[in-house]
Amino acid sequence: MKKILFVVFCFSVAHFVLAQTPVLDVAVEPYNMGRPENGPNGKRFVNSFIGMHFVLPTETNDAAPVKPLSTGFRFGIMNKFRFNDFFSIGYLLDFNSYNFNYSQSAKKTFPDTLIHKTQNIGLASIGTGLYFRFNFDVRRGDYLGHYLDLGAYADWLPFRNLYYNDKIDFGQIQHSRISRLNFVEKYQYGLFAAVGLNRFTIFGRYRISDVIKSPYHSAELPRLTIGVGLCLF
Amino acid sequence: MRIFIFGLVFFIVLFTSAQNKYWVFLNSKDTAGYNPKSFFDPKAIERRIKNDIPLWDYTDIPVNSEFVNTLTGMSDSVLVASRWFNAVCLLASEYQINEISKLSFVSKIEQSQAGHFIIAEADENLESDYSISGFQNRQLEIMGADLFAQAGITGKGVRIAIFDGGFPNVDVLPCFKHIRDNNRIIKTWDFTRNKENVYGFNSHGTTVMCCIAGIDTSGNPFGMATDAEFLLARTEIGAEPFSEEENWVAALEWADKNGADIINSSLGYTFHRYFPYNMDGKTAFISRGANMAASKGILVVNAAGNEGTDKWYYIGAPADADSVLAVGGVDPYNTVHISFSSYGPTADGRLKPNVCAAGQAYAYGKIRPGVHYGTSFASPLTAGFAACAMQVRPNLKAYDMFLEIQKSGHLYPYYDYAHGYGIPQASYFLPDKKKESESKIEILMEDSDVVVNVSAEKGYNCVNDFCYVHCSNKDGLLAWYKVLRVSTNEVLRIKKSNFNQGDILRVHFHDKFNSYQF
Repeated sequence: MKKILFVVFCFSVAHFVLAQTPVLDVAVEPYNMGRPENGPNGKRFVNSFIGMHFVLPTETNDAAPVKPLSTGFRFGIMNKFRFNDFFSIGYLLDFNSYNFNYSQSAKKTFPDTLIHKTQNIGLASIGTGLYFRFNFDVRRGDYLGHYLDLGAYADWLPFRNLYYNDKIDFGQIQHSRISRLNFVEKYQYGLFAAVGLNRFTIFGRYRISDVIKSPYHSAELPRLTIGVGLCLF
Repeated sequence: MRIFIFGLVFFIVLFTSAQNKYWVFLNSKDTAGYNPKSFFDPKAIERRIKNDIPLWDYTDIPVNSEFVNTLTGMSDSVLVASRWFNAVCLLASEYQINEISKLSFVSKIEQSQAGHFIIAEADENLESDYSISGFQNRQLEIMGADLFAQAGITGKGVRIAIFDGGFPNVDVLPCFKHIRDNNRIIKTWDFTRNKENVYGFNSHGTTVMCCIAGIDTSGNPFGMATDAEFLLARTEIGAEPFSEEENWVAALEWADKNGADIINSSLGYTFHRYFPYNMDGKTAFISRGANMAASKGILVVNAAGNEGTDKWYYIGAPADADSVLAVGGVDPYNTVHISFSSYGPTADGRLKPNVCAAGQAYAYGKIRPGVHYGTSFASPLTAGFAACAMQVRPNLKAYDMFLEIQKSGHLYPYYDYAHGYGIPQASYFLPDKKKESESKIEILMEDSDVVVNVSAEKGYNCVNDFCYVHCSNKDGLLAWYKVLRVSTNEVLRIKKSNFNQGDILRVHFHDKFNSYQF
């Protein structure tokens, strides 16, 4: 047995010592003479994306004073189907978070009349969207290039929370949260647009539907968000 | 909603009203009054005579200035007028270009769009086992530069144009003092700003020039052509800018007019504008321009690119042009392909890169010397070599020189798509210096196997030497190629069944070559 093992060992050592070490070993592949099926300028393209957006209040509402530039983030995947060098259509699936921070003033009546240290409504949505993409650098390689996306979206809002922080004794802060707000709609829809240069996008979303239910319509949340995004591929 | 709609309309208007860039090709020129002897630098005339190019050539006559004036009035702005292509590059709206297309002197219009010119400098954080010391010698040693130096060959009288993103401190750095002191920077032009000063911006050009002709404070050269003359053109805006191919083409014509013998450019177009199958030497405008420069008797040396480990993988334009000497990169210590160097062939199956040189080079940056990575630096090392070769054989035409440099490759006649014909060797141009080894290669047919044996010359330890093997099919295209580290005499054993009728197995070891046709 020992002999056999010794022979196997010697054979293995000899094999490794005598074997030639390829420093470079290339099997030449023929050029793909057509456009890639998948890719930034292929027939189909799937990429994930992340982004950060800011809420832009378009009108002053002293009773429900949402601060400008309340922030949120998003991530998701988008799928694109190219019709020609100029026009594509696509869909996306995404998660969006919205954070509406309220200024605390005596005129505030929504979400409540109390003065807190901070107060905000936090919404999170899971949604889908359909879009048209218009590419402006028609002559390009496998590259997203400059484009304009126009589309519509519909979201489900599973997370609808109200947060507030209050100062209590000894300088401590009390954090409170109310979940499943019954004055917030579960669904929303709207339009979106994005301009992009390859991986980088600037996007805007305009919510058409109301989020705040009756009888609080006057406290409707700002509809416009503007953000910056990054396509990951 | 109003803001959203306003924003939307704004962006749509912004995008759709954007000017496009076009090449407008013209159908005639004003030949009256054209005198090549007053138009060209005497060096350009000399080059034309040497290359048997007629002094009076229609493509050399400048674009009709009346046509340019008309187009200037009808477009937003005229960027470049190309005498070689009898074309004007301009910015115009769709309406304007429609009107321009109706002009009687317009023959055709091609849309041109900005893309990325990638200056071929690789990530400097690549790991290296080598210390900085010795790099400077090594990048020259592998080309046999000492033979040129000993023979007093320093590129004297050869004019080299360098196209790059800027040349900061070339006017002050000590490594270029010998060039400045002898007024050998003949002309400069910044094509991105239409100004003369190029001594700022991206330091890539400084490093490239140092690889051609720099000398350190101890008198040791960084490149071979220390006595060459220079034309410096800034054609790029940054390291990876949105740049314009018309700058490059305009610089080609400028270099031609001012008597360049060699053009070095370490940049290229890849995926931003093209698909790999476009790398056929005919599709990219810049490649057509490079071929035109070659037809004017200029040797165009271009970096192969640094996409070897990227999705693109292949060489870029204009390295795909058949008359451009595309230079790949090797590790200067083992002289084998360096990972990032782009691979050939071209989309139509031509060999690229043509040759290779050190892809890690020691040279000055903006302030001090350091190690730089990229085929960007293999290209100027080769351009410096070419200048020396031109000094040795001053009567050789540019295309013949291109072929001779290929033949001087250390692997020649072996080739592959990573190394081309290998590293150009000074000994080829100084035949009395050429030494032949006594190493041997045997290709044996043993039963069902093909065996390749090599033996080094007596007293030579072949361990850690490299054996290059490839198989080409009956159309001349390589099916595979390998570089093997030699540790025994038998370097390769392959089943015969792996080869087809007409396949050729070629082997290179030391300076020996052998082949077998199936």
